[in-house]
Amino acid sequence: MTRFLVLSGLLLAIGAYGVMTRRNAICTLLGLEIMLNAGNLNLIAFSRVSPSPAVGQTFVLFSIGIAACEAAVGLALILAMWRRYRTVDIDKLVSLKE
Amino acid sequence: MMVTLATSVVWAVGLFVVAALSVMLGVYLERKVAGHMQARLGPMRTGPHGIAQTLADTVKLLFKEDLIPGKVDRLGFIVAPLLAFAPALMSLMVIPYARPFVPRDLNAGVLYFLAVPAIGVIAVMVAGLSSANNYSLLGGLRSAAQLISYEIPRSLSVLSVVMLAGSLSTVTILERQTHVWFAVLTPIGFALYIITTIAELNRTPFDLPEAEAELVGGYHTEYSGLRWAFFMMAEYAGFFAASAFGAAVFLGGGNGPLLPPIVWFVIKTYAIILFMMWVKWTVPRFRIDQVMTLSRKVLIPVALLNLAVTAVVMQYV
Amino acid sequence: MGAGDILFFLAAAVSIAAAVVAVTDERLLHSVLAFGVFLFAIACAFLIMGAEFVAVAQIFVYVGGVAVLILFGVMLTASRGAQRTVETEHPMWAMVCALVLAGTLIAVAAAYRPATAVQSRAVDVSLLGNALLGPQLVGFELIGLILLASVIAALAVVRREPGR
Repeated sequence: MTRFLVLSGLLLAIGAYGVMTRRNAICTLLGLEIMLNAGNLNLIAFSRVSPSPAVGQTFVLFSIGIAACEAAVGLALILAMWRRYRTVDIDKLVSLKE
Repeated sequence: MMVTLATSVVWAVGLFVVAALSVMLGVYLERKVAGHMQARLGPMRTGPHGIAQTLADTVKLLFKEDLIPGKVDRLGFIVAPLLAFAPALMSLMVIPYARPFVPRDLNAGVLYFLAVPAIGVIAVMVAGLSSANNYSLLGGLRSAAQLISYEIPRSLSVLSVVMLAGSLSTVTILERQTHVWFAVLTPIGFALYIITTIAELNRTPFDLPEAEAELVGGYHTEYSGLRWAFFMMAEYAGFFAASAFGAAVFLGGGNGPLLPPIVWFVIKTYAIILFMMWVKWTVPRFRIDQVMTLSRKVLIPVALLNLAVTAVVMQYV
Repeated sequence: MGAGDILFFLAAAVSIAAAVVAVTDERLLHSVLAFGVFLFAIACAFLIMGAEFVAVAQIFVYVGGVAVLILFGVMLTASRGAQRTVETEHPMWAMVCALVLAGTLIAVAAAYRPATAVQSRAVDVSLLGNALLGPQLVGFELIGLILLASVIAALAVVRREPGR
């Protein structure tokens, strides 16, 4: 049980590093998805010790579905950014800066 | 635990042998069927009636130069054929050969079988993306779009069988077909499964991504020799896997009066395979927009209607 | 060491290695491929924990949906320079934050003792089905709504203005 929690914590940290570091918008999305998966791993690990494991697993199913939605919308935004600025480098998004 | 590991390894090797044999037989059958449908004989020289033709082809491909063009992304180029072949092998795991001789009876076996070709979609896209070639990119995009569009009606058609059997396990579905085949109970579902499987396998009439006149070779333009052979093996192994699954889930593969179950299973599988080959050499190719229209505007509504009709039939019959 | 332990360590090692490659590799395609491997390793971890349906759903939705979407995004935003990504100038701060985060989570995880015993049997799919159409029905319907809303949103964001 502990091993799964440790794994999910480690993966969350790796995903967070990815979100913080990467400049390409798609790579940031990858880091975000890694964090979501780490959370799902944690949920399943805890569902094993809960009185009704089905609840935890349905929660994970919802989480997977919502992650898919969020990836779709995120990629639509990246595409819109590509059309407007011809780059996916998030450091180039400075038009709101003074 | 070590016994389970050993049996798993034995099963894995056995399934690999099954896949390889089915590929060799499939390629040979394809050429013979094509020949006879086109009023010619097909391969006749290598061995009696050309039986060793596939072996000769394999040997030839093995000796070809392993060409990797200069500008390709090496990791993607090398990984893509392997990624294409893996799902075909993986999907062989949940098919109940000769009731109930199944490598692994997963609780969600049907869903596993439907989910695994998703890895093949990634393989196609990576192949198209890493070959530094515009035709490959376009072919990869088109093929991926076609594959993901047809996953949905395919899953919906199998879902009607799952409703009838009340379980996602392939062995249970097989056992529920002792009186009547599910293809008889949901004929539309069976027809949908056949059509969507032909589309998922990139066979005519849905083979625009591979059509030579349109896109040179589609996503496998830059591949030659053994790497290209992997794509072909993936297609034919997937062909066998999908037909075997259809035989098990729709036609009650293995249930039959006189002959042993394995013989019935092989007969039903190859009946589906021969039917799909017949379609391939008869029907002309669809345009890509016709392919997408067919999937989204025709097959998905029909599949949903089929689900509704099956539910009504289950309730009142 | 039982076979279950070996399998877990294999899946864990592959997932960590793939995640590290996904967040640090310079080439975009390698990143995405590593991400695909990571998703598959997570599906294996789900299988080891006895959540068969969730593992298969993970392959279906994440590998077959999200990874394909990301590859489509890579294909459609391909340009000469975008294939090689450059990281920010100060990755050290990010590394420190990530290490602190990892350390905290691992410390909490190591100190956790579950109150009830761990069930190691695989959860049957029918249990999940009953839960989805029973107590969790509202969530089930809502997620359909969310999916619809997100598809419409994505279409609205990428729509070209008429007249261009």
